[in-house]
Amino acid sequence: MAPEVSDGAYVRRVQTGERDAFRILMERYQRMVFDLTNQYSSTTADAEDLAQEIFVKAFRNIDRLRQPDQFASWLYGIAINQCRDYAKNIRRNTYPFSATDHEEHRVMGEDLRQDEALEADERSKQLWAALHELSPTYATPFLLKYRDGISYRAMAQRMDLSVSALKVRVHRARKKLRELMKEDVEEKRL
Amino acid sequence: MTEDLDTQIRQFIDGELPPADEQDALHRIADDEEARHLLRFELQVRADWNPGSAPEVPAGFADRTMAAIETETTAAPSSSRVVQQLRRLGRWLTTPQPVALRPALGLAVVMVLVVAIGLLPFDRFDSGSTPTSSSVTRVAADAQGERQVVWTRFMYANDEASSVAVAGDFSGWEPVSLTAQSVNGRTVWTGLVPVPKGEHQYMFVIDGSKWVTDPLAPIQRDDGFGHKNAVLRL
Repeated sequence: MAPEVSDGAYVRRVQTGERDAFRILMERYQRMVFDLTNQYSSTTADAEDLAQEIFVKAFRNIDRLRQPDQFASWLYGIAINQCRDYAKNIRRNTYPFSATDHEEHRVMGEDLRQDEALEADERSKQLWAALHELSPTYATPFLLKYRDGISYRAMAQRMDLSVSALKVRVHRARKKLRELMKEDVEEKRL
Repeated sequence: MTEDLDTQIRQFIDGELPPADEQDALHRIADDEEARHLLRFELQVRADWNPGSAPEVPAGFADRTMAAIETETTAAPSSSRVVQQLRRLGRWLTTPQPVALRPALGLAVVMVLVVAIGLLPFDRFDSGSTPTSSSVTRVAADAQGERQVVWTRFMYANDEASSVAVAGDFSGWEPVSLTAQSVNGRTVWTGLVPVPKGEHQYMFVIDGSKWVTDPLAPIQRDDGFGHKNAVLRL
């Protein structure tokens, strides 16, 4: 299989006026962005609006991206900031990791859901909360690997990094997340 | 956790270790609490966050977003477009541009690139190798007499053993044989055992004589004879 063209190559094409190259970047990372926006919005329509704002903002600012190969973590940073602004601006309790309307709705609507699924859901929320503590450099490959199922080789080609460097980043993310989740559990016990 | 063990656990998780070294890694992990927790964490993330669990992107999202970008750029004031074009021109002037090469030199560059790509390490984890799953899975529960019994699946991966059994207080410490199955080219020993609800201790028995601690058990307890039993709570 031919190696994928790097993100940096597409970013440079967008920067020189080739707007359609942005579509490829968007298709590469739209799942990651939707994954984030879904954590903050209660409806699919809101999640899509938020995701669209993120990509439009990225396009608007792409000329300022000095290191084109870092597009993925740069986009992740934009997405996180936009999601936080969204949560602040709508001035309601949308913080996704506390008890939310969404959760109440789910519990009421699906009484038959098993304990294990609920536990997995709770763990997933803790993991998202911990992930938000990580810098985009570590959070991005972790998300791409575990949520999008992208191989290290594909990631390496896109981000112009070595496979071993990515493995080390994911491992550091893994250790930090485990540490943060442990602290979270200990705090709840106090 | 030492740096050496940290590297070993990363290699184990990434599927970089040959089978013989995997066994060694699992036993080293079993002896280190932090390493055990890290491995449990990894397995948990894989179980909870498999790629299929991410939400689907609505159909036509890319088209709608590109249309929004189109609208924004065509509606932008002309002064801002000029600034953008000037910025692009500046970038073009300061960015290295392609230079024509003699064919022989070009061929050499292509060959070097081909060799470099050929040397990229093959990532075993991404090639579809099945991660080691938890050693114990609750399968079903039913009531036997007064006490509820949980049918529990025990698993142990070992390519070299001729037999693997599980023994615990629930079997009076008599080994219960597990059956070998081939999973993605690995030998996984597995079996369903009825275990009464409550807390239990167990170990795996390799080739009828070697008693080993379950490396994936989150809780381990000294057995008073220099070994550690894995603790199972149902």
